[in-house]
Amino acid sequence: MQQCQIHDDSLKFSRAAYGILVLIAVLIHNQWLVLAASLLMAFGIFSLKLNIPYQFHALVIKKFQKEKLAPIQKESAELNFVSGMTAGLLLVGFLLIYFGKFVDFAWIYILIVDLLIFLACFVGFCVATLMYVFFKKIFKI
Amino acid sequence: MPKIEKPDCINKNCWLAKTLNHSPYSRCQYCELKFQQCLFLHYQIISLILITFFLALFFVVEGKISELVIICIFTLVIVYGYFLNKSTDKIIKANFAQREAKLALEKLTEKLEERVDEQTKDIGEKNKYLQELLNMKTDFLRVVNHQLNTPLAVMKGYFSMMEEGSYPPDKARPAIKGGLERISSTVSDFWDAYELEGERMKMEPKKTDIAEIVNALIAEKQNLQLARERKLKIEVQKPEFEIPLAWCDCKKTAHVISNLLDNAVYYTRQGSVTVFYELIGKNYLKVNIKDTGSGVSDQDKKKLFQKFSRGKNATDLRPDGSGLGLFIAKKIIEGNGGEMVCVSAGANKGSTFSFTLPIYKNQKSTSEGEKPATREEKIVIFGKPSRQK
Repeated sequence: MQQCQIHDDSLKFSRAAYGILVLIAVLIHNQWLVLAASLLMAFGIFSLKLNIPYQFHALVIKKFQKEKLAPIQKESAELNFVSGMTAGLLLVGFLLIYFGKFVDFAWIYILIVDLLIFLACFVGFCVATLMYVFFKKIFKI
Repeated sequence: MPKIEKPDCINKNCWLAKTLNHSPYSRCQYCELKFQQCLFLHYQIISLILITFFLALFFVVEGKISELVIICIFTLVIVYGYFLNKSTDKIIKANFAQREAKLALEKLTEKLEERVDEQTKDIGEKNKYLQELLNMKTDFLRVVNHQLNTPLAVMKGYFSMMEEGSYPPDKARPAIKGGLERISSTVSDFWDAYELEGERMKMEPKKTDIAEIVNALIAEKQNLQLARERKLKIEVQKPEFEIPLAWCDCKKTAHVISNLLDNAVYYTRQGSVTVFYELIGKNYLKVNIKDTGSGVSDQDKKKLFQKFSRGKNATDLRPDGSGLGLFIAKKIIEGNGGEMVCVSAGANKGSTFSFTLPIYKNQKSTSEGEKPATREEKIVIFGKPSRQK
């Protein structure tokens, strides 16, 4: 599997940014913001370079940081899977709201997904990564 | 916490790290635990179970799940998770540092043990050397006491008798002269041994006809009173080859041959003393002095060429020996680029003293001419199985 070097703090920043965006969407019940977050995440499926909050942190904010952390190694496929999974889950929520099906449940569902994003951001506990590992093991990729 | 180097490797015990082919968290690089033993994994599973359980419970009890409940549950999970994450980081890194320190300590202990062993061995060797020196000192004092005191006591006796008028001076003079010569010879031996040990004695190598020296000395030794008394047959075996000239210090080599012949005469009660030659390759002449005398025991062989050392039989047959003759002879031969050995089947089985000398090949002087044989070359010379007679 292809490996790549990423900045862990930039990844956390991007997760926090998505989490806050979705949290705002949940608090003001605006499904378009959910769609926007989902689309932004979906770009990350193709390349890390298209992950806008990540690039913003890596290219801009990091320049002002005194302490520079060394990049860590990750599998590109894992990052793509996590982006795709999160984007997909949010898109499902958006579609449920958009078509007016189980709207209350959809907002709760989006809130849970959002909190899982925060969990990955602050604790490093990424459910999508665990799913990726299990899939990898099951399909012996 | 001590600063630790990043090992930069994947924990092979962890199923997750192995599957991902990288460390999921930076701390995992310092971890050696199995995936099932991971504290953080336990937290993750329990958190997931509890979140699902509480959400289901609220749904069953309340009929719906409020957003506030979800936020509360997740906030708790995230806050606890955050601190647990930090603590796990510290615990794993501390464990790693402890392991590293333990390893370093083990390594140090191992090195220390090795060093102690080395030092003990060194001390043992030094102790052995000091013991040898002590023995040498005792031997030296014994020789000094015997070699100098005996003739002095004899001379003193003669002088007393002369003073009393009980012994005529003309008769005493040869005995006193003999005593003085013995003292002079002993002091000369001491001086030679001192010079040879520190390699201060200068060798003056030149073309030397060993055969001529041997023949002259054989004639001299045949006339020795002791040889005549014991009816010893002292002869030279004529070799099939022409004896080449040697490149050595003529006077000192003659001294060596004379010493070896003297020893052969002194330590042979009956039988013969034979000198024969061998050629060792093209570069060395080997001179052998074989006798049918008291021989050398295996125990005596070890210290045969040491200073002041004398064999058990030697003291009986020649009580006035200084124990320096063979030491001086060996040093002179080595100084001339040769080597000396003794072969004996054991006590009372005769012995053969052999030494090699470089053959003359237009050498000019020690510094300009052929360099003396090295220790390795000398060993090969005596180790050669086929010798040209």
